[in-house]
Amino acid sequence: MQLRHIEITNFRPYRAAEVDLTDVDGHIHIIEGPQGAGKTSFHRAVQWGLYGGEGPTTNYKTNWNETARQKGDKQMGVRIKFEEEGRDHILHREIDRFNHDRQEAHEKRVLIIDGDTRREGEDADEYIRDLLPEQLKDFFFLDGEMIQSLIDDDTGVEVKEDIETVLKHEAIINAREDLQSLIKDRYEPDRDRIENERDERSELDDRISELRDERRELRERREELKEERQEIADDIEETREELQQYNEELIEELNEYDEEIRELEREQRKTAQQMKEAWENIHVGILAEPIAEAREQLREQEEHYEGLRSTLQKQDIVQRLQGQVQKEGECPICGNDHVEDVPDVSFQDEVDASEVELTRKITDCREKHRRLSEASQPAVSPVKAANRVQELREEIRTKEQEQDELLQEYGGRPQEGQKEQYEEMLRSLNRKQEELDDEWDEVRERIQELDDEIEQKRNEKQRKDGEQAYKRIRAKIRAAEMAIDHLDAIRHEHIQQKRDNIKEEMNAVFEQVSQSEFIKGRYEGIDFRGDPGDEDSFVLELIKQGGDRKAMDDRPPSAGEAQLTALSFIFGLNEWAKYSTTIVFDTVAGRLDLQNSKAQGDFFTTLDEGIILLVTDAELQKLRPAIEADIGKHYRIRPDDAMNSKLEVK
Amino acid sequence: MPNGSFDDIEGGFTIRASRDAWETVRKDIAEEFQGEDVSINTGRIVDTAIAVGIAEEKMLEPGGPDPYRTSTESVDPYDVLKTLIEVRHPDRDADKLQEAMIQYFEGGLQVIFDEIEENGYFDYEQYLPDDISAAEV
Repeated sequence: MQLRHIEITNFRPYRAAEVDLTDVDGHIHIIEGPQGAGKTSFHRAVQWGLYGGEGPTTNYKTNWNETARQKGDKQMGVRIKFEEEGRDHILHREIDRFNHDRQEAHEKRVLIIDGDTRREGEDADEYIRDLLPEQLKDFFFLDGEMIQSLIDDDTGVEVKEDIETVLKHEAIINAREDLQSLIKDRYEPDRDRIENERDERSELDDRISELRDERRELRERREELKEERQEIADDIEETREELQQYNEELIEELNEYDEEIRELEREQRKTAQQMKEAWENIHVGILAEPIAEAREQLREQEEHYEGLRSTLQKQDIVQRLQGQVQKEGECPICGNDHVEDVPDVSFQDEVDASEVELTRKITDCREKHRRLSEASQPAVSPVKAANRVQELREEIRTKEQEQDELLQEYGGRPQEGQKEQYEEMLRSLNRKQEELDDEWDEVRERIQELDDEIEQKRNEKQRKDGEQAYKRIRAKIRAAEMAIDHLDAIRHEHIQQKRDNIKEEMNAVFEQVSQSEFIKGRYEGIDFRGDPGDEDSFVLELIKQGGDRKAMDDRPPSAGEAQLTALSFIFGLNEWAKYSTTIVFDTVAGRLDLQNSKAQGDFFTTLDEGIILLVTDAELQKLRPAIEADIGKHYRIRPDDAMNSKLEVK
Repeated sequence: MPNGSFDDIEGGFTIRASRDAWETVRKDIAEEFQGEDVSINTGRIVDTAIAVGIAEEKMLEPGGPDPYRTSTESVDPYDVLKTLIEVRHPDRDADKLQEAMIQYFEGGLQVIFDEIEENGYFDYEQYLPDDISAAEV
């Protein structure tokens, strides 16, 4: 990046200033000015123009020219024209307005390459950073007051990576970074993802196993339901048949049988009673004829005895009448007195029993006759009654048999309310069947859901990486880490080599610029401390005459020693850096004595690249003898009464 | 003229019959009541056997071992059989009338027994008057 033209507008003391480095022979350009005239502001203007610094608002508040502020000229900008690899670039950074309400400045960046390619904003910034990384600007835009900070221990640590960048180990660094990025951004996320997916696969396996268990249980339940549904269907069919068989006619028929059987049983009991009575009196029936004969015989005997008794009674009457006639001489009946002869009447011959005896016999006959007459004959034949009882038994048995057959045919005697029971049972069975059907549907749907979910989980599992992928990514990570180790080894070797080269070059510079007797007699050179792989591998130490080392933080060297050491380091580094730009060096020799300033000037003349030296008149006086022949443009900063500065070609 | 009477016998007396004949006849008549709620008094079976004996004028002396014995207190409660025996045997005194009853009992049992043995049953109806035989049950 060879600076060709710099134009500054309303930046710090510069209302409008420009530096034109074109069409000159010398490569050492001088911007000369007194203390406070604007050398450091020019230095900062170039850096702000290239990198922007701490943001537009801060820059605007810090750097906006006071006169422009007072006049309301809001524009603040730096326009840098430079050449890089033969191509012209114009970079224009400008803040053109400021929003006071939001306290926010608006900055524009425009980069025009070879007059036609235009980049703006972040695009332009990125392009500039590619040409010269911002973190390296302190190695190219030097400040003599600050330069010694570049050799502090802390800086040595901090700049290690920057130095490596300066050394353009980019291929290795980028490769390493690429590999690290590959590991960090791709492999490790891949590994984490695969680990997660592997875990997820395991979880999916567990879930699939759970789903399969649930599905197996549901299938078993489905089989149970199938059996239960069949049983319910059978029960419903059976109950329907029973209900269908149940009818009033059956009840009526059975009741008729009951009534008939009861009637037959009543008749049987009655007939049995008749049979009993018949048997109790059968002897009278058997003897009916003898009894009749005996009764007749007894009647005849009674009549006979009565006849005899009557005869005896007549005899008694006649005898009493005879005795009266004999006594009174006349008939006691008719009064006839001519009764002369009274016959002696006696029937005793005919009757051999007394009247009393006859009376007893008559009574006896009558009693026996009465007994026989009153003897009860059987009303029916006991045999017939027994036969009838037997018939009735048969009839009852037949009826009971018919009834049993009927009951058997209809499955038993319907109970009272049994029809309602059947209907309720049927309703209950239908409800149970509906419940089973619902559960069946639910089970079937759930099984389908499980099938779908298992399929989904399987597909999901197939889409996820497993153990093999995990092994592959682990192998890739190991390979990348090995590659990084390999690159580190290469880089370490390269750094060692470059470090040695830088050491040699910076000692050559130190040899050139350290011309005072004091320094030459005291130090023989500069070296880096420790191992090139260490973090502090670019921490500098001065090598004393005799080989002792002097650390920069151990009784720090003088400002001049520090500046020369830093200068040696920077230019030693720049010799091997792959970046190149016009060096802008502020306060070049403020801390150097004349001899060393001259030596530094001599060194500047050996440089191939252009260099802008921001110097005071005193510094220029020290340098001029050495650089006189190589001076290109020489500007002088001239401040005015308003504390604004102008650049004038001298 | 004894013109005896069973009333001349003070208290009851015992009559007897062949055991086999009695058991056969008793069982034959008792079978008619099997399974029924009613049953026949044993005295009526004795009455029936005596009646058959009288009807058949069959008078036998009981024989065989272990004769069946029963008191006449349960026999012929209305004195029909006794009266008839008295009428038939006016020349017998009370003891003879008792013997006649026993003989009629045994005679009747034997008639019934023989027919049961021969035919398996005894036709009691043959003695009954037609009006009783023809009477509907």
